[in-house]
Amino acid sequence: MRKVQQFFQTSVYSGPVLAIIIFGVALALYSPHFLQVSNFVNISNQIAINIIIAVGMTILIISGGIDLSVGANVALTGVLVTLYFRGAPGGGSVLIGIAIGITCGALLGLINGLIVSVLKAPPFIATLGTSGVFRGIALVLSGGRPLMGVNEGFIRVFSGFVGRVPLQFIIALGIVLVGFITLNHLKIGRIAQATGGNERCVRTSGIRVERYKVILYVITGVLAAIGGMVLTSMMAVAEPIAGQFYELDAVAVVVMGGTLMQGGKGTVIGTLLGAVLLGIVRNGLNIIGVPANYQQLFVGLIILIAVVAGNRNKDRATQ
Amino acid sequence: MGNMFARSIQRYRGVIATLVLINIIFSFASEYYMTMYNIMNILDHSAISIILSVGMVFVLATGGIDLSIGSTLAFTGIVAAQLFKMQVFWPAALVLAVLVGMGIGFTNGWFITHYRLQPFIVTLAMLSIVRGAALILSKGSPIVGMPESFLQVFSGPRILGNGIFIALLVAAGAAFIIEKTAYGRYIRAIGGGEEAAYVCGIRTNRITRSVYIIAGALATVSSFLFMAGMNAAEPIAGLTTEWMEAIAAPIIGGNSLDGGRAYILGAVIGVLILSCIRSGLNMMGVGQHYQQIAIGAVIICAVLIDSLRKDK
Amino acid sequence: MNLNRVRILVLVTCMVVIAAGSLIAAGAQESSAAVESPRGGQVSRYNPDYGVIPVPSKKWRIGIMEKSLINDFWLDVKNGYEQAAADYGIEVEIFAAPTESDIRAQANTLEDMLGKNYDLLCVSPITDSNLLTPLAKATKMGIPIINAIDAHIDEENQQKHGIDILSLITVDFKENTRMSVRYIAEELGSEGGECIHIMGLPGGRCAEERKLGYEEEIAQYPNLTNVGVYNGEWDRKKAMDVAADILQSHPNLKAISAANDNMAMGAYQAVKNAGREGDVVITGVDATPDGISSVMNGELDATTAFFQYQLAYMSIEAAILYLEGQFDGKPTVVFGPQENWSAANLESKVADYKEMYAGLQALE
Repeated sequence: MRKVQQFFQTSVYSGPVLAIIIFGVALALYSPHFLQVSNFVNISNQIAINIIIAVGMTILIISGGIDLSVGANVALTGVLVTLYFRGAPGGGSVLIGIAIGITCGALLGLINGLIVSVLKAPPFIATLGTSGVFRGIALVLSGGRPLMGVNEGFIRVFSGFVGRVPLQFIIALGIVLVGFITLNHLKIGRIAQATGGNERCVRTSGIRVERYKVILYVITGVLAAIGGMVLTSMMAVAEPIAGQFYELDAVAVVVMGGTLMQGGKGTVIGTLLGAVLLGIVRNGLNIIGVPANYQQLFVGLIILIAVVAGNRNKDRATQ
Repeated sequence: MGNMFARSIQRYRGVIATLVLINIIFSFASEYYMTMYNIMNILDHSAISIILSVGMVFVLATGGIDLSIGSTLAFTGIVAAQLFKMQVFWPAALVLAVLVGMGIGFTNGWFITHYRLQPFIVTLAMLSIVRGAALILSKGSPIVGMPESFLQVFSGPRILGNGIFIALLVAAGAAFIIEKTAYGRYIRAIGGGEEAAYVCGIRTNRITRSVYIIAGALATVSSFLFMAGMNAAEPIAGLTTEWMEAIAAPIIGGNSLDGGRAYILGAVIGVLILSCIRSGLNMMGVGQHYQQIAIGAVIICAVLIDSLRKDK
Repeated sequence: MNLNRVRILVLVTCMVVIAAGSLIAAGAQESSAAVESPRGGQVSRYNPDYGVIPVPSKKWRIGIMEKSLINDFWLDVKNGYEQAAADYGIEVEIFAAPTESDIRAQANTLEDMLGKNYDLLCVSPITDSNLLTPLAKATKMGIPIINAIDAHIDEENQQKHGIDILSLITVDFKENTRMSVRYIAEELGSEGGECIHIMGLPGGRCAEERKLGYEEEIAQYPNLTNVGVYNGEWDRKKAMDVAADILQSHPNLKAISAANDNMAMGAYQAVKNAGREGDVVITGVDATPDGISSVMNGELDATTAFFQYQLAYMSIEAAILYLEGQFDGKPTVVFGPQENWSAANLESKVADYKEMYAGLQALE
């Protein structure tokens, strides 16, 4: 019991965990349909893409950067991969499709990274600019219409079910694990944390910050591309307008998970919890049948409550 | 005075050059661009974004950001329109609407200062809450029917369509506050380093709250122009373009997300750059999809110009 | 290497790309409106009430404002305008808002268009009110206006704001979902059951009307229970998420009426994931090529077709009639036909309409 108490008093995860428990219990009491395996299948299915994108965003934000072009990246990757499948004889090869997707994501990340680190443009606005460019290219390439004709094998790689667990959720958890290791046990993760905390200090110690920043943007780009491929595979269609506001969703769960926007501090696990919380809220509002117009209001309120709850403990811990 | 003018030219030469260049290119590209009608159009379309951007400059100066102004624009518009419908004397209705806008700003500021939360997430949540409120209050459809005299004031048939006149007035007032008053120095000081500002005796929490209140009030003022322009209050007003432009324009104009700077004229020029591009591409008949690419590229160019200048 | 030199290089490259790209994009659009086979002098292709459409006496320039160009529906509309323009040998220039919710961008773009001296405008407003001011300006400038498809500028607004609308050519959006509900009632038979509607982005005319149509019609069937209206924001993934949640909370759900085909296909994915395939009736609206192939594959059950291509084509015919001074006595309000397309009648429908829809041709 004391351990539990200690957890809620000191852990950085206590905010989202507390919120998840409160909303979970409330929903379970309100509706018999909430606390069921099939519903958790639903939720895990719905939040998978957000988790995948948000992991990259977490590390980037910790390093003091941000990437608002991930939503457009999702769309452009889907469109490019599907264009390949439609154009290639016999539906194309799955591996080449994946390679195209990853390359596309890496390239878009590289563009962002170069603009931000080498050319020293502020990331928020620079990636807002590239977001417009990427989205526009996706619209031009697809002619503005959804593209059917996604390779069946490709669909099986990125979505479906393993037993009752959605494959895309397993992919997402795998990425969380990789993100966790990268952030806590690899050099690049430590440099990201140090850079977000005090960039000048890192620079003085002789580390080439620019190079690492570019790599972080490439990682974020690749993860967004994986998100794009999962989305394309889940829907069996690539839409040039897909992924709108995914960047805001991603940033929201990163912050709900306790990561500081100013950089320096944050965790991948917190982000996962944030995504779970947002997923439960959206699912719960539908389950209890809140009318469409009221949903936005409640989602906003609950985000606010969750960050307030998370923040109180953080203050106490630091005081 | 001459010195100040020279300093402005120095500070803004990047964006001014961009603006001039864009206008030269478009004048050659389309015969319809450099016409009196179109210039009026560009100014008219800039008015709402200028007012929103001016509010954003205050917030940016303290190192904050406000994503909720688009929703505030929609909600306060609906509030005013509902009051019009209840036959409230319209200037009183506008005052009430401004108070509501300030209230939303205060709520933002209160959460940010009281709980030490990050402006991005607080205003993102508020974006959602206030938009939901706008949809609920309007039942999802536009409210048509504005008082005649209200339309006269906010979109009167003058030479400089009144919108831009109001916008420039707001910008001038803001520039005065920022350049000439202690308050203007305080907000920049907070952006430069909140703790240092606090130590120097600035009441940082109060000042921080005030910038969000200003942003909320100005979002409401821009909603009046919006309503007068549309002749209706729309629950889906300001959904994306408006608030994104309101953040992009000040930064194009040399303001920084890190705070410490407050360049009103830069923000105004930033808005004009975006308006000129949209109009020019329309005049050339460039397709909507290509326009998105072009606008994105121009934003990137503008921040590059800015970072070029900063190094010198 | 000198950092500034790199920046300047990037900058110059960027600007050259923008300039070149814009010119190419502008050029590409103009060339698409080339004259192929002048059609004038024959009876109207889709509206017998219009009678004979004269040969245009000059190459009229018509400015078109669509709601967006980011889905099949509005691309079909674009095809209709362009085909009609090519057939009659006139010029159209097509504009649109970047997304279907960007009301001010649409109004601003229309104001820009007024500076280009078009002979006539065809507009599809996002809401009933967002284009009132520019349209009033257009009337003052003497430019005739056709209100083609989507939101209506009604009599009251026309008078109040001094807008002359030459003709309204559209469909009844409420009827779109009424048809869906009728189909659902028929499919479910006397047993009936629980139904939901997945609506488009709240606040837009089209989304709100389709929601109302659903709610009003379903109230007429005592054996159908309306479980609620949920927001899919016109987005396939969101519709899928919503449908999954409702299938969870209402395990007996029998039917999903979506406000367009795109969201209906998202709902289908959720139904499939829940293992309820074939058990839940799913209907869409728009009859887009993807929606139709989805009905063909037995995924969606039905969609409401309302011939957007025809409506656009008719608008150009009405424009020519007016510009040639022959519009007197012709119908000023045209509500296009709508039909319910399902597996039962799809093949013959596609065969009938294939000729005119670029999208349907692509189904081959």
